[in-house]
Parts: sequence; C-alpha cells; structure tokens
Amino acid sequence: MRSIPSVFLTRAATLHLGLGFTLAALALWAKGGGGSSSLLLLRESHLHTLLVGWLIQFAVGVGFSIFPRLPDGSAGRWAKLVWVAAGLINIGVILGTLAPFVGAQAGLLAALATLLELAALALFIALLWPRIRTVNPTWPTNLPVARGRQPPPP
Amino acid sequence: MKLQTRAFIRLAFVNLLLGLSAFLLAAAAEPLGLDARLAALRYPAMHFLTVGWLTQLIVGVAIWLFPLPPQSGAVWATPSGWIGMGLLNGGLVLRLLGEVGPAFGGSAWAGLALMLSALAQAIAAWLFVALLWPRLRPPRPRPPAAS
Repeated sequence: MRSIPSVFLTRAATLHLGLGFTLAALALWAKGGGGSSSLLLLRESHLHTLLVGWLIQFAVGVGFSIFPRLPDGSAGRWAKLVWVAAGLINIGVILGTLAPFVGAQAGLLAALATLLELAALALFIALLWPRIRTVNPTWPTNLPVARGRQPPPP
Repeated sequence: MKLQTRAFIRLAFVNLLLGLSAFLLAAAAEPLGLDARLAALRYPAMHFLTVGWLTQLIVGVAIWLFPLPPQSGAVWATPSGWIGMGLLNGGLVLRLLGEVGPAFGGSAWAGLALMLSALAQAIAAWLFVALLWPRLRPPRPRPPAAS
C-alpha cells in the first residue's frame, strides 16, 4: 500500500468485517433457536458495522492507496485531516453498533453516529476529490499490480 | 490474476445472479400469483448480494491488488482463502435453506441450518481478516537515489 492512512483504514475495515460477521452470527444463531432473543438486536448493529465500518471504509482506504498523488507528489495541504476523518468514522461505527442497546436513547445515539460518519465521509471526499484525475490515459500505472510493467505498444 | 482471485471473482458473479434471481422471485411472487412462500427468499437474496457478491468480490480483488510481501512466511494464506471461500458460500446456501425451510415444511432442520450458517460465515470472515491483514502493510522505504 502506498500510504499509512490507507493501511490504517483498510486494516480497521477488515476488523469491522470480522466483528460484523460475528455480530451477525450471534443474531442468526438466536434466530435459529440457539440463544437469547435479545441477541436479535444485533441485526441492526451488524448492518452498521458491515456497511459503514467494512464496505465504505475499505473502499475509501483503497482509494487513498491507488488514486494518483497530486502533481507535486504531496497528498495536499490538508492531508493530515485524513486522521481526523478516520477517527470520526470509527467512533461513528462503534456508537452506531452500540446504539440498539441503550434503550430510550437509541435514536439519539444512532443519529450522532450517523452525523460523525457523514462528517468523516465529507472529509474523505474532499481529500480524494483532487486525486481523481488522469495521469496516463492509456495505462493504469497507479495500480499496485501494474507498477513496474511497461505500457503496451501504441 | 491467480487462481484464487479468479475463483473469488467468479463465485461473486454467481452470487450476484443468484441474489438478483432470488429477489425477482420474492418480489414477483405476489403480483404474478406465484407461490406466496417464495417471499421467504427476500433475506437470502440480500445476503447473496451483500455477502456473496460485494464482500467476496472485494476480498478477491484485494488479494490481487495487495500481494503478500516476499518472504512473508504466510504459508497458511492460500489454504485459509480456499477454506474461507468454501465456508462463506456454504454458509450462504445453508442460510437459504434455513430461511425458506419453514415455509416448505422443513422447520425441524431449518434452525440448525441457520446456526450452522452463522458459524460458517463468522469463521470465513475471520479467515478473510487473517488473509488480508499481512497484505495491508505500510509502504516500503524507498532506497536512496543514486547520485
């Protein structure tokens, strides 16, 4: 991978993958008659963990790894904000996962979690936006699997 | 593209077809006057799409995009990928059987199928975590430029 933030984001996403499937398994186990019915509350938690924590975070992390750097070689003036966004999205996912279990405050906590995730995604988009550009129109040299190979003859 | 990546991606496409077909049957059952019990396909359809298609495609592409470091010593990586793939797809089929079973007179074994599906998919997910973790590594320091 090409940057530390992308390593953090993709590794955090894979942990959410394992955690989300574990939550889903507990809920499904209960649905199959093997556990307390309160475990069925985990259905909402696993949705949040897998959709935002796994799918979205992994996609963003891979984006930071494979999208072309800016022409001056930097990731931009605001590159350090990626850590703020990474913190926000993971706190949001954890709060969203816990939300179904806090009783009367569940809606409030879910809203707060979504707000944090929305802020994180806005930051991610702002940081990735200038990197969505054409470097070489004929050969995807930025892909790690293609690095070091020669472009095909014209 | 290595054999395991190709298998992940092809199985993901199979799951996409299965998921969309199951959705179609579940959605069309009532308006077309088909067997109303087909509505039980809704949850398995969602899981064929989100787990069988999206997650499996992502894992397959990730092991292609992010190869293991040389001399990583991770000899377990390839077998764990195959085992995870088998458990994930087997778990999805068990989920299908467990969800539609009660509607077709299979209540006795449906619960067991759901529990086995839960176990299989959770193990598969943690195998995928182990498979991906060593590949998601910091960039190597660049050698000093020759003067």
